[in-house]
Amino acid sequence: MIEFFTDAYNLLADNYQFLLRGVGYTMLIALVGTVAGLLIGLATGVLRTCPLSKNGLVRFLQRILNAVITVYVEVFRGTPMMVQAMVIYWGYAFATGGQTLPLIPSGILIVSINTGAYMAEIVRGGIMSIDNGQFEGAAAVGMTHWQTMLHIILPQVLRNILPSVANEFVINIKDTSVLNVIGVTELYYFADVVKRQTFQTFQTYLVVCIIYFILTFSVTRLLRLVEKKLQISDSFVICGSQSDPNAEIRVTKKPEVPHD
Amino acid sequence: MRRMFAIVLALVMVLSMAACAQQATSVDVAAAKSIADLKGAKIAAQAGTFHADAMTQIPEVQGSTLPEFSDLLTALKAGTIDGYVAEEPTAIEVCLGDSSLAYLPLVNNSTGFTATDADVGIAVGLKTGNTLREQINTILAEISIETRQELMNQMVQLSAGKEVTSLALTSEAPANPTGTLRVAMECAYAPFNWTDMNTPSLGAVAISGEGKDGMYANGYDVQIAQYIANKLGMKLEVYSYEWDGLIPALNSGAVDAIIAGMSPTAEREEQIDFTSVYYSSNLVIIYKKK
Repeated sequence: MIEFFTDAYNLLADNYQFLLRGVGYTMLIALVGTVAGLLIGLATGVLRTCPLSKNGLVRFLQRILNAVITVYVEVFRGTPMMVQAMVIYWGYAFATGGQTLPLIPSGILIVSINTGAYMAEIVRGGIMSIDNGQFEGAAAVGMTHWQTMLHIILPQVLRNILPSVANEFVINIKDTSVLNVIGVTELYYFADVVKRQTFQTFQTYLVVCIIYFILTFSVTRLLRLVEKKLQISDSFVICGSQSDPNAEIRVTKKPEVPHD
Repeated sequence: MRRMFAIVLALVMVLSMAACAQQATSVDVAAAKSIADLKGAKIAAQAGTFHADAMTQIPEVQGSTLPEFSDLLTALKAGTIDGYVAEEPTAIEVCLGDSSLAYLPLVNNSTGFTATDADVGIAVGLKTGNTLREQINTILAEISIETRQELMNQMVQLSAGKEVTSLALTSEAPANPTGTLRVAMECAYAPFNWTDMNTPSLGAVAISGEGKDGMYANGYDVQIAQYIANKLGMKLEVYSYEWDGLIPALNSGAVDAIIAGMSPTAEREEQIDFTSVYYSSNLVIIYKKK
């Protein structure tokens, strides 16, 4: 038992620079990949819910775009990221006659498009969950689809899907490990290298397991804090009314009893 | 009734899982004189190699394959297999580093596995039609059998952490390199090719590529690669790829050669060209001492 801990300690002491570098790349790829994936998801969400245009040509283009988005979502959601990494990395090398994609950016690219496919569905679900009255209200005051989305729907969607986004972030921290198949130097890659050097399989992976857990646990706690901040307060103020732009309507759960 | 049924089902599942987690068989590997004596043993080999094909020559073998070579040792130490197929230099190196291990010194085509030179020899892989092939063959022919043996012994020592003062195979680096020779290997198959972290061992070469600072490749393959590059008047760059990524790396043009302890088997010959063999060894079985 003691021997095991000294093994694990020596492992860390000898290789901490490499493991730290691995942590850095893992977090970089996961963070950028999640944010980019979310942007892809929001964009596809807005495009897919856009009402069909009356103009024939535009309507045709919209249909094509919707079909492309559907194919993208189904293909990237329906194939393993490890396989996508191999296909994209080696496919590019074959297509260009030996040029290889730079590793870290290609890792970010693969995670982004993969996450984007999931986010597209998460955002779609988020938009569907918004009460129809919100769309109707926006239409009633003459907002266009883009205005409705940007000012009314998406802010609510973002708050509602935050737990799912946090979920994707945690999944990405773990799933970047598959990128070692193309040689991206993330945490798992270095775990593999250290294991081959020391032949201490169990010790190495246990240490790396703990590192992964620390990463994911701190991320979930941080995002939980953000969620709390975004929770709707019980009381809020509506500025302006139909008759008086300077009016303030206070909505509170417990109505304030006016004094006589 | 329904609850009983669920409990029975759960029990069946647990039992079937326990059946899967069988321990190593009672075959006495240490006493085996030939592969016929390994009848019925649990033997493993690295997937996608000739070792995995050779393994099936053992009568009634309970064979299994793992994608990564170093995991075979883990399986052996955990007691899930009786032994695994390796090349003799690897076996010597592994047993030097761990006194609880030993290997069966099988000899190919007599007590050991039936294998041709193309099966167990290792050669430099080149893109089909590459004109460097003849030049590399000439360079390889200059290295005597004795030098090859001596170099391999030194690499076994180095890899096991022993001191080596000067290498058996040396060459002058060209003053003005005419180009770069990009070579792919796993850097995970000692003593043929391995990775040094932070401190390079004697003759090690820095691994090229993003995020690979502080990592060095060394081993028999690296020394051969260095010799070939020097003799060609080129600068050597070593790239590390997964075993399955080596041939795509060569065929896409990402590297110029594979020098990775790879045997010129017929299946691989269909995809790439090979030079003459630069090392040849017996296939042996590594096992755990009782």
